[in-house]
Amino acid sequence: MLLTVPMGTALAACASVRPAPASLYGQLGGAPMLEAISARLIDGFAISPDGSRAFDRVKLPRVKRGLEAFLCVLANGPCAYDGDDMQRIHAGLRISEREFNALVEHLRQTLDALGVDPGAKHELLRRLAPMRRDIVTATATHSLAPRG
Amino acid sequence: MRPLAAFSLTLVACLAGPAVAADLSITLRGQSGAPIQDAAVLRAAAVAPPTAGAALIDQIDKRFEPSVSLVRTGTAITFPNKDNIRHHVYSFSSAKTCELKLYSGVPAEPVVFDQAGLIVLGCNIHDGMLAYVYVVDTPLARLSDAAGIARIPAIAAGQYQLEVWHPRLPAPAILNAGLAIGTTALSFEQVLTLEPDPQTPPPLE
Amino acid sequence: MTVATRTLRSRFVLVFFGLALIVTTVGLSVVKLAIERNARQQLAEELSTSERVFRRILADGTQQLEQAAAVLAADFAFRAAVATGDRETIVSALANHGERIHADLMMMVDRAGRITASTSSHMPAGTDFPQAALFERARAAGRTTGLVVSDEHLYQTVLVPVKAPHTIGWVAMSFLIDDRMAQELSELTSTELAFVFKIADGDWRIVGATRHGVARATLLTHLRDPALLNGTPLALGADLLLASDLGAASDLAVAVLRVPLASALEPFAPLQRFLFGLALSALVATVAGSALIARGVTRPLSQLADVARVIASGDYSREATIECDDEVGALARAINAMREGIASRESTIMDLAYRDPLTGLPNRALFIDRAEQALASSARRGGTTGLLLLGVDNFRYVTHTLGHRFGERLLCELAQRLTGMLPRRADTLARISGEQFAILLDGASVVDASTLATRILQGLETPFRIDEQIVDLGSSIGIVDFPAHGSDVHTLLQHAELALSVARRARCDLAVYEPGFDQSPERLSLLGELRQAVENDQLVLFYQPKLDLNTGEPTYVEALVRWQHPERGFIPPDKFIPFAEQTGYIRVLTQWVLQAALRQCVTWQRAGINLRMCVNISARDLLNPDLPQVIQTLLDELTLDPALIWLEITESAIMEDPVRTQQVINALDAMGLRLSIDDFGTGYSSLAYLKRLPVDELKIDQAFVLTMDRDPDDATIVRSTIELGHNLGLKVVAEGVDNPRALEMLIAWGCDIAQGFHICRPLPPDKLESWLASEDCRRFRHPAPARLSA
Repeated sequence: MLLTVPMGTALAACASVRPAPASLYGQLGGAPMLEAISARLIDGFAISPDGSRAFDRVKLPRVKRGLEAFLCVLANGPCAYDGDDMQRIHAGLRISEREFNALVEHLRQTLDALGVDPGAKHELLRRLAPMRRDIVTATATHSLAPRG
Repeated sequence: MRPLAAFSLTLVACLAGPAVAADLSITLRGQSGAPIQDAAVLRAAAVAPPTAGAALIDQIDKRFEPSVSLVRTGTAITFPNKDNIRHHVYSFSSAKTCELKLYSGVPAEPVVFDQAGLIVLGCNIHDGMLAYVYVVDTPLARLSDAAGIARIPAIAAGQYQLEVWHPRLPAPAILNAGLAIGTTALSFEQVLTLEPDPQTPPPLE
Repeated sequence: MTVATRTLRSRFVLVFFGLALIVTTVGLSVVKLAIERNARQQLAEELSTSERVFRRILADGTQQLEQAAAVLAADFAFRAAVATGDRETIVSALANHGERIHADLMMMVDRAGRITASTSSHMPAGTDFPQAALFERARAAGRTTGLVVSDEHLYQTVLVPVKAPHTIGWVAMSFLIDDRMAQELSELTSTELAFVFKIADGDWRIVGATRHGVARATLLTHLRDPALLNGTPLALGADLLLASDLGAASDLAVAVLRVPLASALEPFAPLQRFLFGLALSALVATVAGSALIARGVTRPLSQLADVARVIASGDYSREATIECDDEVGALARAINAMREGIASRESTIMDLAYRDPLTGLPNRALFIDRAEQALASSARRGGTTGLLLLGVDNFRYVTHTLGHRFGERLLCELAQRLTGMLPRRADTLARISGEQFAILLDGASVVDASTLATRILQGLETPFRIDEQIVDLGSSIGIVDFPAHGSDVHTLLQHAELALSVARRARCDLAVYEPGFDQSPERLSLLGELRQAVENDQLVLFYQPKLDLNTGEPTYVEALVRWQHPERGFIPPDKFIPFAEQTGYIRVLTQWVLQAALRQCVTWQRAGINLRMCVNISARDLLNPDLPQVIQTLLDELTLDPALIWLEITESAIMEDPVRTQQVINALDAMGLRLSIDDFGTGYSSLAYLKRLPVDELKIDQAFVLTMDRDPDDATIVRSTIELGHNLGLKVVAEGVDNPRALEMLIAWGCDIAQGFHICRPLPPDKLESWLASEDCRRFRHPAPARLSA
């Protein structure tokens, strides 16, 4: 029903007992869950003090769609990611450690709030960890020259 | 976004005619009397060949700079990406449909605009990045200024079609299909009805 | 239970019931009103809350539309399709996105307001966007939401601009407002819903409503009420309605939420039922309780009323036994006290009424009462009842001599002595007058009564000793018997009195009544006749001469009245004199006798017959203070020497009232009349007293003289009396000389005068004159026969 979809999504997201499927994608909760995660994360982070600079005037729906697909692929889901890689996306943005840490913290909170299985959460975070290098391009004191 | 008003005034050229030049000055106003800026006023280009000119629309701080450009057909416009972040410039305008991915630290090829028309550029990644490119095939085209005045100098005498182009005109407005330009300077006002600007709320009257 | 009590009790109960009824009714009404008001208020608040929920859900749904539309509008491929006019892509994209959120309508609108793609047949591509105002808003504001009405369908619509990068069109997404939506929302808001939109003023259409909502016609009627569209809960009919705007202004479309008013009261129904039950049981309890209390009050009251009635009937023996400590108990105690007071007062009154205060004996009233009872019971039995009347002789003399106090104490002593002498306790002894006592002998005969009377008299012979004073009481008793001597108490008492006076007069101490004593009818007529006799000269005086024994000459005559009744003939004096004395007519009689006798005396004096006239004076006459004057008048009239007149007064007459008689006697003596004591020896007198009287002679009662020749005792008495008289300086007259022997004895003993049949009987004047001249008279002349030594 029109009105019950968001509720249904939330309900589905809150379900904690599931038979453990093999892929992280399944563990996380599939497409609806990824949609919720990315939406919640981006919406929350974009307006937060640490994220507002990076997301200034950025079209969030597009970011969310991209993130969804990215996570899906990252979690071995049945998706195709046709966007740019993390490095290209964040090049020139001079994302700082602090901003990145804040994002990770937001992600953690989002995952907790949506009731994601702790094991899956850790796995996701583990898989995302290497992105740091690609994303963080500035230190607190001085900016690095963009890598070619 | 700056109110962008562009009129284009096309002068229908009467090919035969003495090479007497006269200035044309047109003042454009909106319905409320406010001057319309950045309208392209031009005469239809029948004879002028495309030039291999060059223009530049930069990306500074997630904005196109300049936001309004008037170029001749055949102009190659480069996008320097001054702010050095990823942009995904695109246009769906019929005169030029293109996509241009600008990456940080990666120069991009210029884009040749070979068709006349009004081209609206945007960035897929960033809200609010908007640029208008009037591609005209006549040198007799000018943008109206802040006062709404467009002045086209040294027009050879003859009959011209006067057109006004503006993003908020659904189609180029032909003001005068046969405007006779003589030896004297011509100056007049024109009121145009534009579509409402979604950025500004309508006046409260 | 009497009617009065029932009324009191039922009044009690009614009052309490009425009060309880009022209280419970008022209470229940107040509660009911409060509940209703509260419930309505609550319901209105709930409805308002439901409306807010409704709006929130609606907003959520709208937001969903917006998001979906925005997602679509942001899609690059979609934007490309729109920019290039790729209708197929546009339509399929619209459809996909719409499907995902189950939107009912998806459209693409160009910059001119024209629909370029649509999933609705009502608003097909090529037509203008139906809600021009909404589209204008979208153009001005970018994205907007509002209502779209098309072909009597209502759509909640969002318009989201497609930016490429300038607005090249709008994505419109809608959901249909219909019954299904109404049902969904109704379930979520717990109200009944109806969606209406206005076609024209007062003309509304219902586009969607829940099954149990207000009947469509009713709702349309309600909508005419402008108050409904104020946005506050309004009670119409049995429902509470709230209109919620769907569009910008409620003049386009409204959602009407409805809750039945009754639902507000439902939760309170058990409470109200409980209260009602409580009130009912309270009423019942009140009735029962007040009935009980009333009974607790009225029952003792009616018991006390019974007790009071018993007391009123004269029975003071029943005590009111109410044992409570409250006011009723106090009343009971008061009634008891009153009962005792009444009983004691009544007893006192009875005593006062029926007891003689001096002696404590029953008084006249009580005696009569008891006598009546005794007579009645005798009559029933057919038996007899005796009545004794005892009178103290000369009681007045005693009180005069010894004092009133003494007299009273004497009476008390007498009463005590009499009480001791009554044979049976049932006999009533009463003091019925100052010196008279009556004894009632129920069932006694005359013989029994007489026996008792004799015993009493014997018992009274013993003198009374009071304070060293010894008194001899003489008494007389009159005896009557029922039914022989009277049929009612008063008659019996009257006859007893007669008998008593007869006994007294005859000095025989007791007398049984004889019918002859009382000749009332005769008495009355006799009195009249006597009067007539006096007036008509039927009375004559006979004269009996008295012989002076010294000379043998008749020197005195005693006037004796005789009555010549025309019918009855000769009536002897003992037949009418006592009667005259009793009736007081003796005064007239005496006066007549005096007149006649004195005249006769004068006549004889003038004729040379020198006879002293002796006239009998009765006790009544002696008590008449006018008597001296009467005689004096006569003497003066006749110019008669008073020394010729002898007045004979009986001893007992003097003793009846010695004080007053003394005064008269003194007066008579002062006039020069001669006085003689008649019937000496038969009455009670004290010689000392006698000594003081100015009498001149003593007449020995004939009772002694008549038998003196046979009875030595009488002879002794006569002789002694003659000596006594002489010792006192008095002449002695012997009356009743009816034989020569007596005469001889009298002459021998020195008696001065003799009178009797032997000498001469009473004669009329002419006959007397003849006798005086006769031989019978002369033979007594002396020389007297041999005189015995003086």
